[in-house]
Amino acid sequence: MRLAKWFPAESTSTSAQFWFIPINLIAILLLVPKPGSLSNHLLEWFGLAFLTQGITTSLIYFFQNLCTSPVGRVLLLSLVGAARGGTIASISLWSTIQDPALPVGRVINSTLTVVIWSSLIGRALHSSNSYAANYRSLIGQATTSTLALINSEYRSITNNLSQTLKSADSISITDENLRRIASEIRAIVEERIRPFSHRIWFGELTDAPKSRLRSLFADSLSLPVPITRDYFLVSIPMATIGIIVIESDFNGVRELLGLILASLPALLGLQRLSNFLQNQGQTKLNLLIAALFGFISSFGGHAINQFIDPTQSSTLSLTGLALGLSLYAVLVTMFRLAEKDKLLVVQTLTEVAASPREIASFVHNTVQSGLLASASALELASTTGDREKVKTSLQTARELVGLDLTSDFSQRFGDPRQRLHILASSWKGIAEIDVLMSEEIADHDLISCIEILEEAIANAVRKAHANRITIEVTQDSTSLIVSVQDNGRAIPGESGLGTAWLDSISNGNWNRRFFEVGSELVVTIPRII
Amino acid sequence: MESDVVNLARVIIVENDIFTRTTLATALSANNIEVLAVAENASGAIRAALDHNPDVAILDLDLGPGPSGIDIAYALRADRPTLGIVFVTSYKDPRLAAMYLPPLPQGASYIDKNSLEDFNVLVTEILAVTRKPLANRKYDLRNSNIALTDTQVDVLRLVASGLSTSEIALRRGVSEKAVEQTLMRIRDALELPKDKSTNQRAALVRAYFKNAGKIA
Repeated sequence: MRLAKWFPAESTSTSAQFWFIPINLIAILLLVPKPGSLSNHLLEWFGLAFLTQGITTSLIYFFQNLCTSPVGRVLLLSLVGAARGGTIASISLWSTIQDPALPVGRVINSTLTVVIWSSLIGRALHSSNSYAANYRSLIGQATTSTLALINSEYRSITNNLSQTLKSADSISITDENLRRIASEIRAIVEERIRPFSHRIWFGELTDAPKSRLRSLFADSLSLPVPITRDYFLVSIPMATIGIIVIESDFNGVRELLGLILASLPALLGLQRLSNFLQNQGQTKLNLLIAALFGFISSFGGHAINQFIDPTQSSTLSLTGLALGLSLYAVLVTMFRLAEKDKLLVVQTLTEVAASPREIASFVHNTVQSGLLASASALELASTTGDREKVKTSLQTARELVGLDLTSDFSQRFGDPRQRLHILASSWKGIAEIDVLMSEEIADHDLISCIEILEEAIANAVRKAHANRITIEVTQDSTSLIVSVQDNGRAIPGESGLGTAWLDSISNGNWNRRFFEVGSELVVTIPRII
Repeated sequence: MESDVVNLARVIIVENDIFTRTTLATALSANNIEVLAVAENASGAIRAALDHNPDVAILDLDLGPGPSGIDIAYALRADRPTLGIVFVTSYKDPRLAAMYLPPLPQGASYIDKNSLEDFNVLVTEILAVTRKPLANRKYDLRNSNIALTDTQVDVLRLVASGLSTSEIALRRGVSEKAVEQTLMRIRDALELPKDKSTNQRAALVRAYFKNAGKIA
């Protein structure tokens, strides 16, 4: 067996999932004290393992179809966890009642607990990671596909014209040829490009990718906690070998070694969790809470184990600590991801929905008008015989036809810092606008505040007659704080901006103060972390 | 004026669309209107007015993100209280360009370029504001433009910007039912078809762009 296949390097959480299993197993193999009847226990174990597997698999498949929201995913994970935990506890109890003299219950309990929980936690962490990656890729796809679709349509529309313009240098530039090229440009603009920009206006070209994004998003919400073959090929055979070894021998040195090994996965798990949580923007406080939760759950688990089987060793407490920590981290992460997913998707849908107007304007204002201007210039040159004018007009037309709408549009509208800069400079002459903004603020966070700034500036100039405005955008770990200060007249009670709209984007977290001269509007909007 | 006696008025043009800007400048020059400068934004307009001291400013209403033509007109009037103002725009009604725009400046003329059948109408308007820049033009937006209330125009604009009924309700601070009622009233006021073969929302969006002069 190639190890690399089972210990993939690209994902921390996937490898953590596999390292948990062997180390925990070795620890248990070394710790379990008494030999017993091998064949009986093997049969018993196989039966129980498959029983557990069957129940949990059916549960997962049953709830997977019902689970279409982020909160539903968390509920499902909790249910699956509870089902597994319940099954394990029953097995443990049943085994102990059946044969109180033998530690079979403990062996099965420990083995199944470790294997199943390690696997579940590993998978949950892994799928949390893939959720985040998945959403990002969906968003990328939706935005790229909208523009890519428009671009390819533009290419097909301008293909013939592009050929004509390419060959224009080699054909003899007679007056007649120039007029023919000009009329071809006009025809394409009128018959093809104008209807094309109208189609973009009405969302014909952008609706399809948008609905695709919606359906992809809905699909991605079904819970991927698959019972894959690695589970059967690695976890179960390992556990089987473990039981064989356990049942054969015991000594005190092994127990000590086992304890050391058992603490290793707990530390390893902690370290992995710490990395994972830090990547997710978690704070140290969360880790501390996780540790507390782990201690409480391990003491609780220990007490229950003592009640069922008073000969239990304290190794289980250590395992319990690691498990408690992991469980807490999984739940916290899932909740945070659920919130983040929602924000990201809302944001993307808004962006994709807003772009048709801008793309159409771009096609209308830049492409269409530019081509018509070139056509006019060519016609004019055909009468005046201005060769230089012919050359530059052909070049302009060639550039417009060869435009890559994907990159040109993204450059023009995609960069929010650029948009903010354009906005501020557009008021120059009427009002001086200073923008103070940290470089650390992410583009996707900035997009959400541009609309507020557009409204706030217009409002300050029109209503309060301000001619100096200072915009300050700062951020903390969860929010973007947008402050707009102006030197206008104080007009309390007349915010001008729709208060309902401000409430909706800031969750009511905005405030306007009036001074002797001027006022300040502060809006706090949630960041997309 | 001394150098060229045939020129009837001295104007600056503020328009962000290069094609319209150039066409307008050429056409006006051909009609004996002296185009002193063209500008595409507020700072350009203010500089042009400072450098050339025009009689009239011809402005587009919608200049993209940032100030509207009306904002620039007020800024120009701050230094030249008797500057003539002519808006040449594709919007049948300025409220369609943006909500909460200030009223048109005193004496300003408003020309819908899509319904301009004869270029002389524009020239005549320019000459009229040159002579009497602050005259009361009795330009009643309610009568000469689309017959919608401010609320209806705002809702129509939001529909056309792609927002859902619930989002419009949220932004306007009213119930979804109220938005739906407004949409019904807009449909009636604009006499849009009610049969099942027409999608109501698409018809509303179309009506917006038609009145904004973006489609025929």
